[in-house]
Amino acid sequence: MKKRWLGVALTVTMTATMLGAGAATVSAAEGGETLKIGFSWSHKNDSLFYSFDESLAKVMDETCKEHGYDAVEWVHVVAEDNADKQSSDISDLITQDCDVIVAYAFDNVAIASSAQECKDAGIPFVLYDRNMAEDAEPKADLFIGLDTYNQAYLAGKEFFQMLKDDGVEANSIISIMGATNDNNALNREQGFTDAAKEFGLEIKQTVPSDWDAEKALTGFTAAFQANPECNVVLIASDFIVTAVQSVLEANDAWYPKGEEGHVYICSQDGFPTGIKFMQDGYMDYSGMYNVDGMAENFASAIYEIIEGTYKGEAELYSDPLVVNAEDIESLELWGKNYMDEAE
Amino acid sequence: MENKKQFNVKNFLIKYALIILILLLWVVYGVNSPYFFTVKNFKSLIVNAAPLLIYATGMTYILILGEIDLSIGSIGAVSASLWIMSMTEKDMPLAAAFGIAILTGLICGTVNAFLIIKLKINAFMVTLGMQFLLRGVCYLVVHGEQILTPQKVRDFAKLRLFTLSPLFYIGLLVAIIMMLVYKFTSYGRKVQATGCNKEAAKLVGVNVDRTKFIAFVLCGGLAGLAGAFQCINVGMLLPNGLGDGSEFLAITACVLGGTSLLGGVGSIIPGTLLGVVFYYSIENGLGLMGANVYVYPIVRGIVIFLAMVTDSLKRSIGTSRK
Repeated sequence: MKKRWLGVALTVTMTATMLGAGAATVSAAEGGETLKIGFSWSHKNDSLFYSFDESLAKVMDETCKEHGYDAVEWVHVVAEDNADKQSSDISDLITQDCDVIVAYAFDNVAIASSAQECKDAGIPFVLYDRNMAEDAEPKADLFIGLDTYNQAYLAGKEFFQMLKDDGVEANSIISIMGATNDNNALNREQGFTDAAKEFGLEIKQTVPSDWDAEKALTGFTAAFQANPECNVVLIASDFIVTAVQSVLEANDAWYPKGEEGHVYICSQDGFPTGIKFMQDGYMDYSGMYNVDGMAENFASAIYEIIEGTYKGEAELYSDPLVVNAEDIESLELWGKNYMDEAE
Repeated sequence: MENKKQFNVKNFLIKYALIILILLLWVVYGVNSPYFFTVKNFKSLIVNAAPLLIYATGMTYILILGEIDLSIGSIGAVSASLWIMSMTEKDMPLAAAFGIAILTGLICGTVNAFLIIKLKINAFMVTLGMQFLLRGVCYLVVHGEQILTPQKVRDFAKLRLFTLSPLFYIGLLVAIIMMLVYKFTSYGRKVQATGCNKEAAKLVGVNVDRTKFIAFVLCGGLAGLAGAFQCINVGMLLPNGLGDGSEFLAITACVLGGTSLLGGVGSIIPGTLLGVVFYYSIENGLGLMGANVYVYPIVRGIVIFLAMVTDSLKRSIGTSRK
């Protein structure tokens, strides 16, 4: 943890060094043929993205030799949520002669121009986690992602089944959704809605958060006051669950399961905070990212994609990990690797 | 002969546009939601609004001076990062941690001021650059991690004085002090003079550069405190989200409250305070009414538009009187 303080002192130097250049890492023994992968991130500023990165590096290190590569070189560029910058970043990766370019798209339409540019340059183009819009062309050679509809639908179904089994009547359900222009957020909201319908329930109020904890706080504060009988909350991502905690605490409604007044919560993603709240009994269910599953899907297809021999599905989806508070200790979850932040 | 002032409805409406809008809005919300006119609702509204009030208080000075500071959200994020780490890593007491947050903000504000005043670089460019740079610093400092507020912070947030959170009182106190400084001190008069006419201010002996320098430093310090308050409200540090867009909300609140984007005109109380209340009332009321999620951004857009129109109309009245 002292590294953080050291980080402050090094920041200015590092910032200057990183400006205008992608950070390159060679993640296996050097020598012989190196597989060069360019990765364009929309942003890379939370533990889920670090987890994507680490899991991909690990699985590619483990598999590169059996495919004739001695090492994997990663060139990372970050677009800071700017579609123009992402386009320019991908052009730079093309210039650097990457064997394959992977992108976590900021804009699911604008990214098509980069797909075209890669196609023209003869470089395979892969999208990670965030897919292109349905009507955008040309498509990427491969999409690796999580089925975000199922993420909410499956977690929601098990969650509502648990309520039914426990004899809990959902008095009023409030859903806190992500950004209204994010397909993943819309999929999750639809998944929750459909799961609720199967149990004859409906979401009383949906609060937009724009993936912003303060907006979630403001919106949920009002929604909870308008629905004081609410005892079920659905959250699009557990990185905003502390906003829910603040509101429930202020309304004397933040209690772990088993105690009088417990508000039942089902969330998504599996951030460390969410895991901690599940361990402590405040959160009941979560549809978590299968980060390793996504990385394995990537490794299973990428070598053939590079060789031009890939005949599999153009979109490879991993199923989410549906986790409840009882099982959480026994499972290996990406968020547990970052648990010190939630302590 | 008695000199009667002629009552002008148009001028009255423009002058008191914000108060009229707030009252209209409250009536609409009150009619549509039985929860709007409740003590509990107003308490939560003003506590949630405390960070924005502090950000906007500092921004009011900057706007009155005819300048702009786009870095306050990132200053808040960096300050909050060091604030929370000083407690989680160094086990500092809460008061000392607040000192760290304010000090960090003051340092960032000083850097801004140095670049703008001493090196004569445009404030827009300097603070935009600082916005990106400080956000990057925030990511590096906490390695992109979300950090839960420690128990002592949660205990502090639960404190109640006359049933209200200390965040509200501190926010209001800051606004009152800054208002008093603006209205009743020589520094406040220098701010007004500089904002109205920089050259005239120089001629009457105002040190314009020093006046602006102090304002940027103060604005940074207040942003540091506001960042910590945002963390307290949401219960954690989110390096990618904390303070993001706060600069625009602060500017919106200031302009709604009557502060001119061209400088020279503005007030903290009642102006900026009412602007903050108005903005939070909109969000609060939409939530209470269970509005469609797609309505929120439209209403936010309308608010910013209204702010600009009001500012423009006020200036046109001011010009026509000259």
